[in-house]
Amino acid sequence: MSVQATGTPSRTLVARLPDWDREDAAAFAPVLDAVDLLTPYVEVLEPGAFAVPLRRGAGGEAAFCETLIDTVAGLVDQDCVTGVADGLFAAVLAAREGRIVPPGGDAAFLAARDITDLRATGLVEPETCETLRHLGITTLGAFAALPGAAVAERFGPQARRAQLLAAGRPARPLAPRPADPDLTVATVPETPYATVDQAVFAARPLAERLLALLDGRNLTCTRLTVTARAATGLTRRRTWQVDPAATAADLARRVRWQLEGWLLSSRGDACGAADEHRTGAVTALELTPGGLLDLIEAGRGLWDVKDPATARAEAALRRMQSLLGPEAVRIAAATDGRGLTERAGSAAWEAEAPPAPPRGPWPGALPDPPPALAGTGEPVDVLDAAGTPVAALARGGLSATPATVALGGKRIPIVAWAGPWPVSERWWSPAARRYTRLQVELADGSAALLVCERSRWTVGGWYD
Amino acid sequence: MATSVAAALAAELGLRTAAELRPATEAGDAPPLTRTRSAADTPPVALAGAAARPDALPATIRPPRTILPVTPDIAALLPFGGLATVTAITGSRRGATSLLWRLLAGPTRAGAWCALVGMPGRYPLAATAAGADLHRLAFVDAAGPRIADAAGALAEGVAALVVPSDGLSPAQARRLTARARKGGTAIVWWETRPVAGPDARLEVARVRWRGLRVNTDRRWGAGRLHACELDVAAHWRSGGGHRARVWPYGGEPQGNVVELRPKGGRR
Repeated sequence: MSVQATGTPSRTLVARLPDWDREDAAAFAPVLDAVDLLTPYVEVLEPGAFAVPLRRGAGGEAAFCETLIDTVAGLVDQDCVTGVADGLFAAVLAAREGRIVPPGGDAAFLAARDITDLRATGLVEPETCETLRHLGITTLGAFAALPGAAVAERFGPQARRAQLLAAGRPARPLAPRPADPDLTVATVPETPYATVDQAVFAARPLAERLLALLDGRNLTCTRLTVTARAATGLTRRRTWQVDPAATAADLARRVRWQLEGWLLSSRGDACGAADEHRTGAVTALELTPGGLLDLIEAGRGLWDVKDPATARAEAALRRMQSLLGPEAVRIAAATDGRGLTERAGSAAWEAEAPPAPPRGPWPGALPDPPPALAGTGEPVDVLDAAGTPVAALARGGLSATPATVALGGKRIPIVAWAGPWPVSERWWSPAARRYTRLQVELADGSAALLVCERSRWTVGGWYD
Repeated sequence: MATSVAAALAAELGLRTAAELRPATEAGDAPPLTRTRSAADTPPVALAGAAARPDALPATIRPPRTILPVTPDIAALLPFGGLATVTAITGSRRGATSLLWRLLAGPTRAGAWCALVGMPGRYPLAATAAGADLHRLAFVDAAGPRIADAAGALAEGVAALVVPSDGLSPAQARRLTARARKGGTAIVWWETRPVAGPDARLEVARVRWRGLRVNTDRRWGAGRLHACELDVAAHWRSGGGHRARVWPYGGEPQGNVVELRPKGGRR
């Protein structure tokens, strides 16, 4: 989060427990919890190794390493080796011998290392290292000095990325540890839940347990992943956006919607099967929090923007979702696209991520105002004064001046018009689309956007 | 756990206890996003005030608790200068959707949640073009008898609720209106069937589309539709009518801001 946000490059500390059993991921969690007390951002590289960002120029790196080693040694009674460097790759190598690379010294430190250390990037095969050694390239410095294009051509893009790392370029900021694994709460009933009511009955205490767990850590979640395992071995998972202030009842309601949908759909699949109750039965239920926020941070957001009226409105909308289903309340937003229907996206409120905002200017889209009613698509005929159909030509013009519109058996004269504006999209792919648009104002006072695609005119939208 | 968190929060944020806060909440009853009536708008709301007013309202109409802000062109058409209690828009008239979006532009911009129940086919970007904030506009998919359920669930929550009047029976409509008045929600009837007694009924008397040309004998028509001009007639329950010219999508010519022509009528 803030690691990426801060503009100044940071230092990276990597700590390794050389004697740690690589398979034992679960036992490593308490170690991470202890490190959490020292620093909030911990990326787990593998069981027994983790990385922590340090602020550049904060000083006292050696002292911090001492504290870290003492903490870990006191907890698990194992040796811990730390290494500090600017980049993650250099820090991993420094951790092998417990060195602190001075700021800006990454390239010099890496240049002297043996070529086999390239495997620590996880990007190259041992055979590649061997080939490089046969080519006379024995150190990372020699490898970094090779022309990049040649490396990419000979060994592929992975090796090229490894070369950048070997040159001491910082590859990526650290990704802080995601949701703590033991924050997931699960329940496994003795007899599988066959009905939604049984499952929801169990979901309520489960949600309360989750909230109590988060509360004890001064955390709150903005996402909730509901996982249900069915008797058939099928696992279903769905992530919801939740309000940081959601109560156990809110969370249980999410579970209810989710299960209703799943149990219904699995019944539908197994229609006619003798054991149709079994196919939909839920044997385990799991709730995983995501997007963890500090409670104080979350509360600040709440109090800054949410006044009582908004909170009441959102409560009403949530009640509505429980009545009509989560898909019933939709939020619309502008998104990427050129055509009318492509430009407007919609998502179920709080149940789906909102549509992405437009990333480009989309030249060729009609400027505002857009039609107020869209998506009807009724077929229409555009006729000229003599009554012959008007065609949109490939060069972008019309075959004749449009004079009337025949819509549902009625002929309505055109009072004013503009266009046509042709669009040719994705001509290089099978999804190619060519259409043209025409604005007309009719004698009865209505105005419409007509779309001609594959020489058929339809109403794209009514201005209303 | 929870109590220690609360104490930590209070200490860090410098909060006061609930007892200290109570007088403040009682004094400012109305939510901050709504505009409270000022003395300049209408006579004071004292008990004697209703009888003393020259245009005394029927006893059933009390001044609404919350008045949602609207854009200035719409404000001239509404009795309290803002969106409150019951408004009806004649849905059969052309341009009514544009008028609806313009009506909702003020409340949604002010951060109030508005909900449209059972009105499919509306193109949301037209609302943006008319100035509404889509983040505060909930489109509720409902049809048939579910419209009444949905509207009932929302009536005491959202700030403004748009409902097609033919989705509800007259009795349901009366109940909904009563609940909305109690809860301070503004109901906007999308009048596909006449409803009884709205505080204001807005009707688009005439719509003119600007920007298209006759383009005689042309194969390629110049111009483009860039604006629309609505002549809106408002009939208030308290009597009197107002007319205003509304440009929902902008493009208003200079010097013709909002023309307010109060009719002589029953004044």
